[in-house]
Parts: sequence; C-alpha cells; structure tokens
Amino acid sequence: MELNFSKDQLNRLYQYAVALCGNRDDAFDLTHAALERMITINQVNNPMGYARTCIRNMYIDKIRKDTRYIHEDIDGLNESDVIDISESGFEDIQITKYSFQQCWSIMNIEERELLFLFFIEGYTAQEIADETDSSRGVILSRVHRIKKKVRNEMSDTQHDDNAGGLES
Amino acid sequence: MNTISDKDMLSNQVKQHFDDFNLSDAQADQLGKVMLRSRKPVTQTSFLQRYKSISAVAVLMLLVVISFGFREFHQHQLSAEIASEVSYNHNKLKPMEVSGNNFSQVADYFSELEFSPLQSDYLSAGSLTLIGGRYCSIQGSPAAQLRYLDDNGQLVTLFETNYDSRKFNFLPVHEKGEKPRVIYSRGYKVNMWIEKGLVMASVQKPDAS
Repeated sequence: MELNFSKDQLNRLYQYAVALCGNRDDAFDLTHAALERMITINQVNNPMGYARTCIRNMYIDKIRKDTRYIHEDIDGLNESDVIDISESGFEDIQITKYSFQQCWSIMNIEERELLFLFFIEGYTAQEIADETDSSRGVILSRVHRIKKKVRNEMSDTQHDDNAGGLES
Repeated sequence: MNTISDKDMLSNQVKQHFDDFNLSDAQADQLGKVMLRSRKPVTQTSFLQRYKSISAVAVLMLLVVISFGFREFHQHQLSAEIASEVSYNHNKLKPMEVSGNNFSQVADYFSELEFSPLQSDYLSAGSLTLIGGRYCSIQGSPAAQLRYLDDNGQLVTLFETNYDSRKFNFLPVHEKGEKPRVIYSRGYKVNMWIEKGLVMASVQKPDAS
C-alpha cells in the first residue's frame, strides 16, 4: 500500500513505540519495521491504527522471544475481574513530575500503552479496547490499576517528604 | 516555571513525558524513504518484476519448444539421410564380396568390423533367404550389407552397424517391443531399428512383406 504519514503522525507512531518499549533505539526500529511491513500489504482502512498494531505485535513477538512478557490474562485479570469505575477517572489525578517518572518506570506495557492512547491519541476506553483487541471492561480495570499505582506513589512520596521533615 | 515538586494533572505529565521523544530529522528522513518506496515507482517495479517473471517463463517455454522441435527436426533429418543412403546402396547393387546361405559363414567374412553381424529376429519373421553380403557404411560408420531374397524373389537388403547412442538413440528398440521407424526413400520402404546392440536398416520394395 502507498504510505502517506505526515511527520507528526510518524512522531506519534514513534512515541507509541516508546510507550511500549521505553527505549529510543528499539522504538525507532519498531516504527521502521512497521512501515516496511505495511508497504507489502494492499490496503487498510485505518493506516495509523494498523501501524500501531504492527508495532505492538512486533514488540510482543520480540519480548516473547526474550521470555520476559507476561500478558495480563496470564496474571489472572480478565472480564470477570472488572471493577466498575468511571471512564473519566483520570481527570481528578494530580501528580508531581518525579512521582510520574517513578510510576512510569513500574508500569507494564499495557498500562503505558493505555496512557499513550488515552492522553496522546485521545481515545476512549472502547476505542482502546477495539485497537488492542481487549474488552472495555479490561481497559477500565487497567485504568483503575494505574490510578492505584499513582496514588500509592504519591502517598509514598508524601510520606518520605514528611519523614524527611521530621528528621530535620 | 514548574519544579519537580509541582503537581500537575496526570494528562499533562503524560504529554510532557512524550514531548521528550521526537524523531530526529535523520530518522524522519529514513522513515520517509520507506514511504517513498511504497509509492508508484514501487508499484511499477512490482509490475515490472511480474512482467519479467512472466517473460522468463515464456522464454523458458519457448526454449523447451524450440529445443524439442530442433531435436525432432534433427532426428527426422538423420532418419531421412540414413534412408537415402541405404536405399541408394540397395538400388546400386554393388557386387557382393561374400556369397552364401549360411549366416555364420557370411558373418565371419566381416572380420574388419568392430562388431559381429547378427541375424535379426525382426527381419527373420518373414521367410527370407540369405544370398551374401559386402562392406559398406552408414553415416560414416562401418557397416555390413546383407542381401536376402524373399518368397517372391524380391531383393531385401539389411544394413547393420554398431550402435552409437549419441547418434542413434532416437531409433526404436526391438527388445522393448517398439516398432521400427519406417521411411520411404527412392521408392523403397526403409525400416530402421535397434536390435541386440546394433543399428539395423532394411530396404525393400513397398509391396514386399
């Protein structure tokens, strides 16, 4: 197929790859490989979505080979475990840059991917579910888990700050 | 200006985080080159490649057909040349160098040949009487010319030469049950076949059995 991504779109694909692998070089390789794969196919309805799927699948293939990848379903999280939460649950969260970086470093692939699609691409939970081949319930449950991690991190940071204050 | 301890919305933190990751100009160029390959020239190349593949197959098939046709033509031409040569010799009736009805005695005369003339099972199916023979050649190969008379007193000449697989491999093999190749030349019926490791050609009038 003929590819016509703008520089901004290429950047977003690259950032999506960064969200998954957390590494600039690997992210570029994934983006490059996804484009290479796309020129071999005839036509797709949503080139950006298809490119992200390529990046995602290739990254999962890569880490499966490295035997480091554990999918959420394997962790025991499935539709029956879904916690009923609001889709706009992120909007009330405030976080410092330091805490965010701490959180980011302990988030798994699905969580980083969800934050990218939610905040950078502006997708709804249902759209994320469609693109990542998950259910909406699993996505909302993932949102809940991210919020929990953020709150825990903020709480720990605050506790550390308070403890430091008492000592001084 | 925000410091590391300033709180901000999670959405802003995520956006700021990704703002740090942008393709360099060199990387963007590299991806642009991949996209360029996907455009029309690539399609044309694909078509060209497909065209080349089809052409290669067509040329190959043509070569096979030409090769097969050339082989057929070559075999036909060689058969015609042999038929012409043996029918000429049959018609010429050069004097016999050895006479006799006993095949073994007549065959013993051909001591200069690299093979021993043999009685043909195919030709002896009819009742023929050996009357003698002489040296000759077929396509430059030394050969034995054996003369017979059939029941009607008609002359039948049998030519025998050593089998050269490079020259005569297209001829039918009697031991395989294959029928002789028949060619008419100079008004005679010429049968050609391979038997017992020898190339044999008989010449007789068409109405003879």
